[in-house]
Amino acid sequence: MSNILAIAYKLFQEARQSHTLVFFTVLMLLLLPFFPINLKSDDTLKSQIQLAITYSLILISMMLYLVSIFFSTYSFTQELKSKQYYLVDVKPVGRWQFFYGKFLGIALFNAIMLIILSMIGYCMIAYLGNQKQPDDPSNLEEIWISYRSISPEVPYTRINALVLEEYQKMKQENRLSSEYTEDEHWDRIRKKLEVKLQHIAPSFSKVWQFKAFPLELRDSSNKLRLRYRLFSTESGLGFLCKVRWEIGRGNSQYIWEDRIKPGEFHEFNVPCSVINVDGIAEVRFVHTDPNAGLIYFPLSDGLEILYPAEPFWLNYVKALLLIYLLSCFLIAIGLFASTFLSFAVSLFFGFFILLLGVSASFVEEITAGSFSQQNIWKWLSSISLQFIFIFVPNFDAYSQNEILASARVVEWRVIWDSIWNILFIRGGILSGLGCLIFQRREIGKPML
Amino acid sequence: MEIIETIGLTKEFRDFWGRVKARALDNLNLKVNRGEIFGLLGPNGSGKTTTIKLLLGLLFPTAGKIKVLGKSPRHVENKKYIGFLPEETYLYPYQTAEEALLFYGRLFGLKHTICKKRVQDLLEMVGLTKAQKRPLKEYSKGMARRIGIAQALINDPDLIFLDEPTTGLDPIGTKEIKDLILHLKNCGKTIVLCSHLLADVEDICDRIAIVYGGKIRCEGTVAGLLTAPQRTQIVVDNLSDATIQEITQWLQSRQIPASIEKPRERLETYFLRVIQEARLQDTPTSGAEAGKIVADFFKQPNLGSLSEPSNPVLQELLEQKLTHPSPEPIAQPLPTTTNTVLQQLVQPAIEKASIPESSTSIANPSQENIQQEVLNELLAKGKGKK
Repeated sequence: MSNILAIAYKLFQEARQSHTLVFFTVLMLLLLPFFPINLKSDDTLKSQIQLAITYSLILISMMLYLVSIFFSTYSFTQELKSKQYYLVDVKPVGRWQFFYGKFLGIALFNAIMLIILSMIGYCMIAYLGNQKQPDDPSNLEEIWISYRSISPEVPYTRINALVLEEYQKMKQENRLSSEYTEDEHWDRIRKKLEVKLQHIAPSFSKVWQFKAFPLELRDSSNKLRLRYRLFSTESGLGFLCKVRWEIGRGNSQYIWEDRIKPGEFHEFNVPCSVINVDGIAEVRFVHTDPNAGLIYFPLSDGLEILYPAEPFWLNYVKALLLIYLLSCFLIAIGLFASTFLSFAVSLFFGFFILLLGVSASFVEEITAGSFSQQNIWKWLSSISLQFIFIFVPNFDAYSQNEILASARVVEWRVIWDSIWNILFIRGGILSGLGCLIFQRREIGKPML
Repeated sequence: MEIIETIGLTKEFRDFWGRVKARALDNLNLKVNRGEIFGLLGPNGSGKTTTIKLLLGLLFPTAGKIKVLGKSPRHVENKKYIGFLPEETYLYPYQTAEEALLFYGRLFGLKHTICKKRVQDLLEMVGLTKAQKRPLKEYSKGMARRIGIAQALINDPDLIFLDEPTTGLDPIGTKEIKDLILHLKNCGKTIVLCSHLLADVEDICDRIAIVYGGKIRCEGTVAGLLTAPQRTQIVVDNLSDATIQEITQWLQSRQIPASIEKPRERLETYFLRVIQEARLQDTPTSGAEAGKIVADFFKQPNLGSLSEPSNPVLQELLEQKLTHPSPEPIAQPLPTTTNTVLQQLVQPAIEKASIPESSTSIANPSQENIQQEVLNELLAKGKGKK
């Protein structure tokens, strides 16, 4: 272990002298405090703070990702190229120890960078939080609390049965267009059904049940936040839709009426007393605007209730931890590539993986369905992509910037999942492979 | 008792497609005994450095076997007992001398206090105590070489590989390193020296092997390879012209062709004396200073410590050795230099550097009985003068 620590410690001496790292750090120290403050928002302080949170996290994460790839590839390959590793390899240091020493060193360096940058980011957010003007309607208290979200139960079993029924019916009636593949047909039918299930006609109402609220919330003075988005069939430019919400039953029922713009997110506060003794809150939407036509709530993000769960700082730390874990994965990628590639190629490889990880959602979306296609080339490319994504995590799925900005809780399960899947499984496989390759590499081979 | 053994060692370098581009070593058989200074000589590209790299596990053999301290060179634990100075000193330019030595010390798992002490001893030994806080990128080649030597000795190794150890060093540094190597040998260390500076090798090596084209062309002790048995050289204190005349006549009367001349001092010796005088006047220097001959932790010669070697592998080898004793000495004491005529006559030629400038040399292809006669005569003259 002392060997690994010695190699890790040396990384700090190297970082101290690296002009590129110093440049990156100074750039970040300049960008982080000033860039988010000057962002344009919708003129409310709350939205500016949300933007500041998002962009400071993006800046920190990109800085860390780039430094991880650059530092790991540079430090490893340069030591081999300039033969400094000769003097290490002839010491009682296993090559795996050298590999993990580098990993530990860069990971510790990243941790220090992350702490410094996140403290600057946090101070900047706190500074913005104290800049409220008297005419600003923002409720800034909400910024310092993170909310856990509960969505209404979606009857997926019922939807699936209906989709199957509809598909078979269309097939029998020969109504399936050859324009679409089988998967696309299923998708279209499902979407139509979902709209049907979630639509409300004028003068009608719809009830959703939100389950599993913590019971201690009922007696607290905290507020729930009902966040929703609706679409109207008759909405024109500047149209404002009348809405009426009835939450809870009996004496504790809470009613909220408003005029809102369709298609945008809206929210209002609800007292916790609307939760019943079983931890359930019943929410009814009453369609009172005949001019709005049919109203539709999207299943994915149309409706949710947020309840206060954690302080903001804890959520901030969790989001940073996720960024850190992803940066550790990139260190493993950089070191793995450096065991058999030159600096330039391994740097390119690292950036390519980063690009794939960041755009994983997009790539998965555009290649969805091609797996079953008959075209051999599309099938092959789809197989290759699926193979790559075994190793490359979807950065979007783990990066919680949006969640943090919308004041929602970053769940611990995401962190455990990322520790397990990114650090241990993917990072472990890559570093194991890297050690194996490095062990078999002839360090003293001259360039022929 | 071999500390290094290679059998049929072959190394080929191949390109990406597996085609053989160079055959650096070809069926090389080498044995290095414990406690000796072994010189590996050869011109550039002859395979010296490849051999060293193979012995250190930096390269893998294409064919053949290697045993270093009884095990494979890639055995990590074995490396605790090995020191290595590469052809060029590959140091981290961003470290200071002290940081570099502490780093290498930590790689051996040395405790911090011991490591710090050794670092200071070594810095003092290589004369860089005052420059220890300067980054290595500011060091001259010679200064970096000194740090390279220090890092090779940080673990008090039993087996030391020195690849061109005196490259980049000034004559004083070269002399210090040669003295150090001899002292290390005296402490029971085994040293493999790789060089094409023949004078250095000749001065300090016990045995040498000359490599060319990846093969050993000749191997043996320095004395065995370099002594010309058909020639005799006698060195004495300054003689008067009359005496020289007398000797010449005596040699001519016996039809022995001979040349009598005043020996020249070696430039190295002359240079060292000039610098020594300058140092006595306290002339300041920004570079390396005169170092101690050897760091404190080397100072106990291992001559009598064969029963307690630091290395368990050596212990094992030693036990085998004790079962099958060899007539060769394990380590020899350093030769001492005196000015007596008798001592000089019986000392081998490698002591030339310590011969006083007022001496006369007679080189003569003669038989051993004639040599004895001249010796007797000279001794008689010496006694007559007193």
